[in-house]
Amino acid sequence: MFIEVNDIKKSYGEGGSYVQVLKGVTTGIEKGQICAILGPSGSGKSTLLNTIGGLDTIDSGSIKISNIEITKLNAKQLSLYRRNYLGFIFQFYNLVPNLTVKENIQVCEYLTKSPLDINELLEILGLTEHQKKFPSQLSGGQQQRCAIARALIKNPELLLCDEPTGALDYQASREILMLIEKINQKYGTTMLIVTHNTAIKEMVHRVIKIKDGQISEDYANSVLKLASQLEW
Amino acid sequence: MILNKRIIRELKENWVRYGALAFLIIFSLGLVVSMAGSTDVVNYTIDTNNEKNQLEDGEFSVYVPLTKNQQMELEKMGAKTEAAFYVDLPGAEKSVLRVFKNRNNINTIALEEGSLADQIGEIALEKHYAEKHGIRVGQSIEVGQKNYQVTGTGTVPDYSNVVQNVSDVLADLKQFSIGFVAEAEFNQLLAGDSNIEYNYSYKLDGNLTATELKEKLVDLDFDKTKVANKYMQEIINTIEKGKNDLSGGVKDLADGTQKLANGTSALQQGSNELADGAGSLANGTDQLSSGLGELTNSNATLNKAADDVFQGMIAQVNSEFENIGMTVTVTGDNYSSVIDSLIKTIDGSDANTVEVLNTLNTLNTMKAQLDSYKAFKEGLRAYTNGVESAYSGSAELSAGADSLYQGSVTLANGANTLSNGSASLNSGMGEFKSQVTNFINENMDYQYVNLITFLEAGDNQRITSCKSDAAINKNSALIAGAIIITLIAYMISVFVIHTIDKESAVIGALYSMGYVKKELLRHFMILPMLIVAASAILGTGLGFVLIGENIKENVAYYSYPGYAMVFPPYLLIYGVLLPVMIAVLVNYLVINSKLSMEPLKLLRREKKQHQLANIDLKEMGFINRYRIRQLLREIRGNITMFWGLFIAILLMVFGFSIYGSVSAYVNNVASDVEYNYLYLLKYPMETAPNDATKAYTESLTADLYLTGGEMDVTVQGIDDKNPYFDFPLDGEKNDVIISDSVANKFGYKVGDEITLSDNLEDRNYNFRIKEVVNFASGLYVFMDIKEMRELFGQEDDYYNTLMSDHELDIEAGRIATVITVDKMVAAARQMFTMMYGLVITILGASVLLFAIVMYLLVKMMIDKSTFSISLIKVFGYNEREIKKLYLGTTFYTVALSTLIAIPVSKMIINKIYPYMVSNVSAGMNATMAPQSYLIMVAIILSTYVIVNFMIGRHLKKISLVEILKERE
Repeated sequence: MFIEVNDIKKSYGEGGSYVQVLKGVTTGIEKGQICAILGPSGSGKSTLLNTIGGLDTIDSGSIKISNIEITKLNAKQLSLYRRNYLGFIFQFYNLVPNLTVKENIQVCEYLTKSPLDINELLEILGLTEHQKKFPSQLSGGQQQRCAIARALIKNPELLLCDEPTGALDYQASREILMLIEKINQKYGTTMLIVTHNTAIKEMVHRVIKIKDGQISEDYANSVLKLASQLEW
Repeated sequence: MILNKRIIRELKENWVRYGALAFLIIFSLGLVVSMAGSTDVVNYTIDTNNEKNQLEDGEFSVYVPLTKNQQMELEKMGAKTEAAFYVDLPGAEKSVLRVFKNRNNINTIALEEGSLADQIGEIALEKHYAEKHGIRVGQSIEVGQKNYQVTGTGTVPDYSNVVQNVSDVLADLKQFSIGFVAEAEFNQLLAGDSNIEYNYSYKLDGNLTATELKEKLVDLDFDKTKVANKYMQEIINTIEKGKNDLSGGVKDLADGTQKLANGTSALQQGSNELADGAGSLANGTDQLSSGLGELTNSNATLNKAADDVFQGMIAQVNSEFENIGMTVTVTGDNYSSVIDSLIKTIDGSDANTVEVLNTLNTLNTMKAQLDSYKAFKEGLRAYTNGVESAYSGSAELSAGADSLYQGSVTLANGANTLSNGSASLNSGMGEFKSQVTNFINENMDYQYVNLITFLEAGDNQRITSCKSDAAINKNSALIAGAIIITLIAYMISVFVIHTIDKESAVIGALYSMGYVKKELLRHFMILPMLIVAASAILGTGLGFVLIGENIKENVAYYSYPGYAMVFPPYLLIYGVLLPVMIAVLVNYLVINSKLSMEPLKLLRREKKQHQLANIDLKEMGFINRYRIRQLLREIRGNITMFWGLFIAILLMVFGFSIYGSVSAYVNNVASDVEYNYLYLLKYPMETAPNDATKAYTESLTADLYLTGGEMDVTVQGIDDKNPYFDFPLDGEKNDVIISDSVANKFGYKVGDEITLSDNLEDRNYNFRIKEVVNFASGLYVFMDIKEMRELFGQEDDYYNTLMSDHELDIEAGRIATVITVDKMVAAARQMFTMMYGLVITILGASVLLFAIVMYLLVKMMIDKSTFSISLIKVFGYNEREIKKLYLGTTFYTVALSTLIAIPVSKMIINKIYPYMVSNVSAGMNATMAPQSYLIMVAIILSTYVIVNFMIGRHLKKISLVEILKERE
């Protein structure tokens, strides 16, 4: 198992404002799989993603990525873990505004000794002609593609996507999902996608539904739809 | 790192912000480096010049020139001396020109143009004097009613501050300067002028200290008859006469004492003899008295026997009468008349018989016998009476003789004591005479110590003030520079934080990708470092370029050769490295703290809300509530702005304080000094002019805590009738009244015990401060003239100072200095002129700093609030209301900064200002006129209004769709 999550609990606040967001989540994901984490707002799906990404701590339980117990890592080690294993895609892209598309990608190229070919990546993501543009000159879909390229350039073993299509229209969302699918196929990248978009569940290997801090459903798809076939 | 590509873009996008900051750094470092660099250039130039031209280690003046042997003796001991005699002569445009002969070894002349005077009738002038009077080399100048051709202009190291007297507050380069003539010319001047000052410069070789040299000079013998100065000669003659009179008086006294001793010796002998004689007399009178006593005892018997004999004779006569038949009876009392009657009766009868004749014969015989007996009886009676009187007298005589004896013994004793005393007196008188003579020979010679003044180079403001002036500027500039750089570094960090806040999610994303804090910290620090480093290099460069401009005032005021540029390493370090280091430190601390937030919080744009932001504002009105909330939200920006404005206001207060201080000095000099002329006399006349007021002036030194050194203080003895001072002089002995100038300069207050020193005499004088009075000019300590004379061992009518409301007719040779109110005011005005440029620069810099700091920070805070502003625009707020909400917040900070910074800055300036003027021989307070405060507030408000106007334009540009852009 590439990702092993075992009985993790996470709470926020104290006293009256105490909220337990994760109430003992246990799951596992094989390497190379795409996994969608679904659930309503406040269910704990982003928290689960952030704890796996080493961005947030847990109260108890364990998270192993490629057999590394990340809950025991300090801040420096977590940075190193993220640098070596992870790629992140956010709902609002979080591109560096005063860097061009290519430069934004290069920002993460810097973090690895064996990056993917940037031009190939630009080509795959359809950004070649936009590579010298600044984020403000791009559409939302283009910006998200740029963010995906930035996440992929260091060829991460795990790609964590937090509502990657949340800020995009239908067509742009479809394009992004197709790219995700393509990348998974091309590079074998393990992907965790937190989304509200239930259509996505049909194109992923694994679906985890979270409700009220607990896994309400966890299953694998035996037959996958292509992203281009999805409708919502 | 590819991320760093954004730095240039960030710079381009925010060029106004970073440009303004860079301008501030360049401007402030330019000023600081130029000020400090000017000091270094001045120091270097002066040090080089001092070394090249053999600056003295000190100087001294004497009444009678040293002999060659004495000079050689001093040289052997380790002090090389060179005569620097001078004479003050009237020069161009009523100025005074101090003429020296050319120097060979010490304080040699650094020519700037032309050559030294080597012929009679030639002169080389101090360069500023020539320039101020428009005299060029080759032209002629009248000095002391003689025409001289100017052969050159230059400077000497011992007159870099060309003041006539070492204690003068300021130099007046047009009214006083120096010139140099050839030796032959100077000898002619010497021959024609008796007011030569025999001044010597010395250099020590390390084997002799200045103190040892001074002691040696005090001990040096000299021929007082060779004192050339006629006034000094008068003084010597007077003292000499007094000494002779004293010596003669003592001799007369000794002679008189000898006579007294002789007289008392004779008296002693006589009184002894008298005592002996009186003793014998007393014994004799005792014996006499005793004998007379015995005689007196038999007096009654004798008298009775005589009476009995006489009565027997009467009876016998009566019996005879009876026998002869005469019926006559006689008594002792009537026998003579009865017998005479009988004889007359018988003698008248005709009977001439024998019987009758016998009867007559018998009668005559009877009468004769009776007369004889009566005479015996009466004689005996008289004798016994005499014996009684003698006895009585002898008793008195005996008592008197006893008294006489006692008295004569006392007299003898007294005479003996007197004799012994007068003998001792006589003997002591010999000793006294000998001692007085020794005293006269030994101690009264102190009047003739040849040394008049002794001044080490380090205490000579003609030499030191140029460097110390520059040093004060340098220290102030360096401190101010460090403060401003720290502020700017902090401001930059605030902007960087603003950027970090703005890009919080991006930074969070970068962290998510695996960036570590170190990499981001480095990245975010590059821009501030670049700006600071580039600005620092430019500012430092500009500073060096501005040195020429900055040094102008110094070059124009002090007298030294053309300056040479230097680039001291420390200044390069200060100008370039220090700002970068400050920026590294400040930015590291601030950015590091900001970047230490958890990635997730950064991604979510979570901000640490300051506790202050949650303050309960109760029922406050909406506008004020909103403003205060905004102020608290932007507390870091507001605090930074507060400090920025504080420093700007501090500079402003400093500028106005310099202006106020110098203006007040000019005004006070004119108003406090009521006499128009003050003559300090080297050689006072025996009788002072009737139209002048006498005073007594001494120059002492006091420890100056500001510099750790000493400063001259003028102690002036005046009397209650002095019309130019209206304070009472009564009080205890050694009570003094000090001028506020002294109080300010030395930090003295009423009741303080102070010690003033006479360095030449190595004596300290203690005084108690009774009162502080207004007197701006110079550093004066006033005391009762009688007490001062007594304290300094002067005669009861001594004076050396004359005050007058008009010019007095006094021989020039007697005068050491004439101080006129006009001169004092002119000197003060000159100081004002010198400071004016500095004041304008400081005020300009402060206004610029104020405006830039305020603009940048307000704009940054507005930028941070773009979303909210856009939102309230959407809500329907108009421009005026938005300005009210956001720019009104700024007003709080500006108002608070102004209210706090003005009084606090004033207090700070009050404390540091004395250090800045520590070498000015006058107490100057950092005074600010009330109108200066109003002007300052007006400047602040005007700047605020202008900045608000500019920010207002920016507010207008915030679009309504910002809210949509910033939706996340």
